Amino acid sequence: MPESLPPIFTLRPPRVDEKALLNLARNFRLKAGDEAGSIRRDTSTFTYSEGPFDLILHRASGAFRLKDRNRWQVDHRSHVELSDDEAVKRARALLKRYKLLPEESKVLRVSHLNVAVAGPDRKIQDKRVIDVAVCFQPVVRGVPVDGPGGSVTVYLDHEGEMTCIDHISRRLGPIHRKVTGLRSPEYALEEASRIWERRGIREVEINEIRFCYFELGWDDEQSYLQPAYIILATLIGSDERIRTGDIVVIPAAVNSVGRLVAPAPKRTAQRPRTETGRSNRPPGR
Amino acid sequence: MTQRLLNSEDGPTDEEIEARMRPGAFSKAGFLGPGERLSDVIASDSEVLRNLNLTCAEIASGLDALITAAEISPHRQARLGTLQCQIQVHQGFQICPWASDPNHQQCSAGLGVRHASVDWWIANAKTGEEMRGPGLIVHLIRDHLFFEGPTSSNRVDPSRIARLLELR
Repeated sequence: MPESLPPIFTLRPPRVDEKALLNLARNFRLKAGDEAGSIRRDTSTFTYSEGPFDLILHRASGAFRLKDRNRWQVDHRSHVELSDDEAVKRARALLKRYKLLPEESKVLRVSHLNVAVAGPDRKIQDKRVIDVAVCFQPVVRGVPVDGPGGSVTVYLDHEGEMTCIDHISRRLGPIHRKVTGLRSPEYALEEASRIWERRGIREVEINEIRFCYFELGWDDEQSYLQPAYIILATLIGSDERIRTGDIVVIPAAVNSVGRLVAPAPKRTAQRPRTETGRSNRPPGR
Repeated sequence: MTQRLLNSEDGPTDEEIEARMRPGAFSKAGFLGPGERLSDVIASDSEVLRNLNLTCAEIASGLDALITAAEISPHRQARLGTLQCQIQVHQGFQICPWASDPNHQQCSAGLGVRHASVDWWIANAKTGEEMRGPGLIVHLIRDHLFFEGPTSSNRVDPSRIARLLELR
């Protein structure tokens, strides 16, 4: 828990239009001109493509992904031998070069994309790592930003070159309001218990409670960044065999603003099935 | 990951593969939902595998072993450790959407298609979890890194199958 009460911040509206997309592309040393590339739009994203690069900007959040189609997640029969420390060093330098490193951040994880081949005998052979991803978690006033958002990830290939960047870290605005007090983790647990009770869940195993600033995902609009508890739990079925993971988010500030996450969609009763929904041609389809 | 390397030069384009995967084309239920993009689905599932520290080959091999054991059993079911597998064998078979000549032959990418005439049901006696899926998925996962689209009724979710097979 922080020493002082973390305030609730306003988030700046994301700059999301074609001009912003091209400016972002120029930041990555792309030409970003009419002749050099093309722009596609759909309901949730703008995409600028130039050569092998796709820059995808999400309308709701301003989050973006820059990927090299020819290299990101593509197996060129190489193997990454970069140590995790070296990968972190290179990723940090790269983000600094593009002015994308959060003011304060910590390394959340370093992960590897493994590939392998299985022959007819089902033996796993030729297991290799084709890229390494370094995920940075922004920290605001000593509190980590967590949730579906709140991360900047750099993917590096076997030469330590960037193949993709995922940036989902909203821009902070001024303080919206000071927090007058923080609820306790016990309160958050009680709230979560009430939610599970309403859902008819009888037994729950609590795995972890995190205190954080909560940030939503790629395609969510968000106006405020506020403190929250994220509870990671395992829901246990009545015969104690079925176990399902669950995540509950509870506002931590006594004077929190609005909702942290959208309410779950209402369940509608299914209509009786009139046909099997399968053709008699291929199985299972 | 390797999907682009596995497409042969005379094979279908990504657009053609996506069209074949839509509901009502190669399959009534479809391999991909109407708004889903093949490259996005593969990329997203690869990230799930990254976080599980698993490969497609490991998942496909686990499934393949169970389905093969059930196929050679006269009762169409087998038990390997805590995992129980039952299959239903159908007439006809599902064509892989990557097939270069779908009217005449199956896809030959990687180790080729197996189990395309069966549906499977696998249960884990220890955890009580169970899943159903199509036999073709072994080839789709192993050779095309594809678990089917999130809205497809035939999807085999990588996290769920990894947990079911106790690979993590």
